[in-house]
Amino acid sequence: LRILMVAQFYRPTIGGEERAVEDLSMALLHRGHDVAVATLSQEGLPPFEIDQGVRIHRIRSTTQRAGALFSDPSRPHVPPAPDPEAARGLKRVIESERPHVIHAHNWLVHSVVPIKKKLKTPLILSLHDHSLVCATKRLMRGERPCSGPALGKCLRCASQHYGVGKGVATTLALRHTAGSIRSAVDMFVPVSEDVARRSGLVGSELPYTIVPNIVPGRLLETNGAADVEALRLPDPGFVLFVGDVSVDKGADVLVEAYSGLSNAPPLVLIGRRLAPALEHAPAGVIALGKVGHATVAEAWRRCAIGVVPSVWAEPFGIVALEAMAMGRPVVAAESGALPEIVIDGETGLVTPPGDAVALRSALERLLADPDLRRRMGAAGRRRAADFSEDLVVPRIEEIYRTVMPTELADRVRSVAPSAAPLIGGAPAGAAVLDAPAPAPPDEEPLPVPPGRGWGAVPVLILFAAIGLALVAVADALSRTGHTGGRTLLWAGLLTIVVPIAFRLGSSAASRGERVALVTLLGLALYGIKVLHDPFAFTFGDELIHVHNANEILRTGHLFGDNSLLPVTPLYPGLEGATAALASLTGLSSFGAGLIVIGLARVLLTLGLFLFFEAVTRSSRVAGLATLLYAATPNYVFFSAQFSYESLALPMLAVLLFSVARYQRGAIAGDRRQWAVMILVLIGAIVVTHHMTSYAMVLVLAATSILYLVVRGPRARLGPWPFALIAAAATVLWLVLVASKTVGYLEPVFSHAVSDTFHTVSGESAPRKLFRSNSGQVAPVEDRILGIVSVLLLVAGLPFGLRVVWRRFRRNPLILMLAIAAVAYVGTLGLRAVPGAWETASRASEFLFIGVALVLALGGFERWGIWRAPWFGRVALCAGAVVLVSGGFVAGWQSSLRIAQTYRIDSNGHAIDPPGVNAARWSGRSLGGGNRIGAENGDARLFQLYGRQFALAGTYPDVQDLLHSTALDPWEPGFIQKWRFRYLAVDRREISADPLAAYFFPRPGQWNSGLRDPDAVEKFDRDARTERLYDNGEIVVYDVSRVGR
Amino acid sequence: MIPRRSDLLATALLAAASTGVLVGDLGPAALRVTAGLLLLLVLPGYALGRALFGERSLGGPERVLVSLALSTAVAIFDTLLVNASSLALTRHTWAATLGGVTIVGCLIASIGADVKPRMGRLTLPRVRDIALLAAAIAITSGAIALGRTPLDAPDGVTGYTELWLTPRDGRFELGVASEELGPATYRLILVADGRVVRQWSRIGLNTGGRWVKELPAGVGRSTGSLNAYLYKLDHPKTVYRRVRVSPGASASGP
Repeated sequence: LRILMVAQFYRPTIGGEERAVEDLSMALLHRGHDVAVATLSQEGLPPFEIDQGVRIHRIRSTTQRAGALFSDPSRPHVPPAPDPEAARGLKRVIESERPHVIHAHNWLVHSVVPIKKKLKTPLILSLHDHSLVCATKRLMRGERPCSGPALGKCLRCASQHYGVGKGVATTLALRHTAGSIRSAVDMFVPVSEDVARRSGLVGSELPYTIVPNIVPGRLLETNGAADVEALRLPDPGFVLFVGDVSVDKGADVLVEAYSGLSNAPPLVLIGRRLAPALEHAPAGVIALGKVGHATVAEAWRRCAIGVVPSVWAEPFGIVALEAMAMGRPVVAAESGALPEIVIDGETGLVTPPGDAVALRSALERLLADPDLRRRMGAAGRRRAADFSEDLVVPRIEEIYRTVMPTELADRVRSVAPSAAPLIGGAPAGAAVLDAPAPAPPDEEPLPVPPGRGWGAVPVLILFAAIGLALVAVADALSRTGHTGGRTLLWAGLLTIVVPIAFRLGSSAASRGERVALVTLLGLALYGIKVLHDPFAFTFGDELIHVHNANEILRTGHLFGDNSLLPVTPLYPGLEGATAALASLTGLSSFGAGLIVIGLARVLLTLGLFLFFEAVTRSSRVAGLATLLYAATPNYVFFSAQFSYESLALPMLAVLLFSVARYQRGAIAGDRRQWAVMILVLIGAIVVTHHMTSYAMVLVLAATSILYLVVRGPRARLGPWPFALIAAAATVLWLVLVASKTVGYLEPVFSHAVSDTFHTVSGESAPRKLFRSNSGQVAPVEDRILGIVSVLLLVAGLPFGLRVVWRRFRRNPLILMLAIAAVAYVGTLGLRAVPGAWETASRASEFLFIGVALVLALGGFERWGIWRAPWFGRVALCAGAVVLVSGGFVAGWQSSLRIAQTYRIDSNGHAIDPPGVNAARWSGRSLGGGNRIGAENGDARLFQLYGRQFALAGTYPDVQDLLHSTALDPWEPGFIQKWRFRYLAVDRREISADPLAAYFFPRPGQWNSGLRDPDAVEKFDRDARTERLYDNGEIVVYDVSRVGR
Repeated sequence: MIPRRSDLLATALLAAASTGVLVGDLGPAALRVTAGLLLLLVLPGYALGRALFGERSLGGPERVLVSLALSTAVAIFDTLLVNASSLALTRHTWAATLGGVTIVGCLIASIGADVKPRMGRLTLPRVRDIALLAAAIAITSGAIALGRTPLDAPDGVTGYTELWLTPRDGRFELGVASEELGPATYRLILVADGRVVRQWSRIGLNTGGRWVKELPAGVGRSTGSLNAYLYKLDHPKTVYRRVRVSPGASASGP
């Protein structure tokens, strides 16, 4: 990004404001931006030079020629009005630099305004003082704070300050130009809340963002008192004041307070002597006058307490921050922005301005308590870290992005990966070591601004729609038994994914476009699942959850029965929201469920994108990572089904984003808001899904530990309070509401562990890969694609991990994701373990968040797409498409990825599968709530459509009961023990498969196998049974008399 | 004050109107669907997001995410809280509580000072973009319509017929439902102790057609079992479906 700083003075002229401009310029330069400065010319300095990479243009001003107007001719301040000569000079500079944004810092901005309209370049104005409303810039009337501007008052005040002529002219000029400044500036950037308030920004319509000054790393550097001035410092433990020794700065108040102290250490005053405060200074006061920076730093290092007793409203108070950065407690006056920086009782003590007694008391308290000084010093050092350039400069970049045209906005982010991380970034000193070389200047031509259009989004929406149409045709062909469906399904998938992947890899896409594209991708892939069966839910888990929603609607209460998965009603988040939507809108549970899961998909994609963006500060990396997350095998089908994890996982993504923003809130000032957001999400996740809540606790705990390891004392920013709260909430819910979960999950995990040992030791055979539960073997092309994608993933991870280590190793959140990525590779082995593959599969949707980010980082590093535009982009796009396709084939068995025959038409009448109608009959003829044993697939239908208390599977052992070829002696007792009233016997083998049992069987196809007739008809041979229902596939028996 | 907070006013009014529509069951179905979607998925999250973050501190995507996430969370917590009270979860309770949350959120948001920057700008689409979007909507609608349309059965897939005999209130319900792919004609016989006690020699049913007879309690009362056999007339010798009950044991019904 090309940035032009406009400041009346710049290096080598040094003052507080000049230092702030220089610090910001250098920081932006180090982050890969192209920075130029336009400033007033100075005698002996060339009109143009390059200083440490910053191009400095020195321009003449007309007022500058009247040197007699200025008390210090070396600092010819510009007036608050356009200066013709300066305006011409600025125009030339702007034409040669062609900046994307102009960042002004003082009244020189008035000379930008006349040319700004023609250029249409965004203009930002930093407010380092009160110059927006006050002719003297101080907002003081004599020695008292001013209550606010008023013409008469200002004329008098400015006249006293400047002299009558200059004072009146300055006041009138400021008032006259106020309107043009307010309309020309796109964003005001006051350095503190106090400046924002006193400048009238708070409560106004003017756009503004508070961004503090930077505490650069060099403030922490001392040269060990090598310079001569430092030799004049007393022994360590003195009280230190740094600044002009003036009434405004409260020097006289400090001396008065100090004179009353007993056994006081020396008081060192560093700065110009502008007031008679020292005429009667007591013994112990050492005035060093103006000294070099190294001596100041050394003085901070040696002192016991820093004092900032300013009477005037300090716009920022960098001196207090310097003291805090050196780990010193600060006694500050409650004036201006000082209370925003010094936290009373935590990093120092705040006293009323001008109150010598209170100041003395505060000094006494601190001098008497070394422990308190140490604690406050440590807290101050942590607080000062919040003002490091790692945290402040991204906010400036964010402002640039905000004010720029959408097409250019992403420029800020496109260079960001080269910079040190925002969240958990290194302290200022270390960041230099960790940061890679700055990205090259933005030399490639800017994309042609597409007017006020939406970039490529509309075209890609059209592509996605065509892709979905192809999928719909593919499904229709499959439902009607025609060939060609599989090819069309792939064509549809690729029509959706490839254009989006290609555009996301482009450097021309704006941030808004990327947001739209990842959302489009998520919804379009969800569309594939919806089009699979747009009549009704047909996935096994969906039938269980939609029953819960129906029960809520029927009974008006939560926590009803679910005989097939009793734990599900105890986590009613999804079903509660769905029931609410169904009830409010009158839609069916199916329709409402589709909407809720669609909403969840938006939360997932948007949450992941914003999370990735927050931790990497790159929308380009975020876009690619979100795309790569679609390569998780669960993405297209499993995570899109109507099931509790499909809502909980997206909320976890939003929580991760909130945690990242919470960390950033330390500087953005919105930590409390994000903390509330995190707490809300913790609660919502805990009541929605057990496994996701455990994953949430693990993620928060792991991140907290990494904070401790990486950040040391700065770990206070870590999310450990949330980890504790999440753990407590999860346990409480488990104990008070969902205790059944233990019995449900314990066998799953213990089985996974024991089976892993057995498989590794060779005691049991490994699971055959690419084979479904129903025994279907994946086609060879699916197997090849699956293997290639896994190899690509495993091969790509080291590149990404290398980037993580080089750039983000001090970033706990990214480290946590890197660990998750490595863990994912570990789970790949578990897919060969019969009892553990499902657990590994479920874990993948969490771990893949890390995989996606690491691969995205590695992809950009490896191919450097902005340096080799077409090749890198094509390679990256191709890799992403292979991974997404590999995930697609690995996630769902091949025969079920495409629609099966579910509802068929006969002369205008829709025929549903026999299982559905058998279940409906049971509800209609037998009433609901009967205990009925059935095959796994049928049982779900009987529960949902017949409202029966259905049981299936191996506990109780309904499976053996239904599959044995004769009524074995144990069976009557079993029927009686479990109080079965009915049994549904299905002659189709596929009926035991909870994924595939719901469709019309096709002769000679994968789902057409039949059971042993002896097993199917054995209840006919027992006179105690009654054969109540027969539809050719399913027979329902009344077995209530069996076993009596 | 009003212009700056006009979105809050609009949100509160929409919430009140939606609540009114849903509680009063007013207007056509499309209006109730719109009101329900707004009240559950949009308005509470927007209002609470404004109360929490102010007007300007979030960019567009962040605002959308926060609003949707908070709306979802509110729906979840609202359902839990109503369930914990003595109230039942009904359209009225959901509408009233969600509307209340939204209005309270708007009030809180309107009290708080807005001190944050405005972020993001809404860019209007060009005519070409609108045309592309319209085409995309049309194609997607077509895809959904195709997906939802029941199609002809594939080769080899047949329909089926349901037969049932269910005890009900001391009587029996004997029923036949045809889910065959075309019109079918059946013969149904009722057999007790090897003797045909009732017979329906020609039951013609179209697809989706249903034939139901209520049998008096006396039918087969003295016998051990009562069997019903269904034949399709195009295969008159083959029992197509059969059911059996024991009247003495099951006449009391399910």
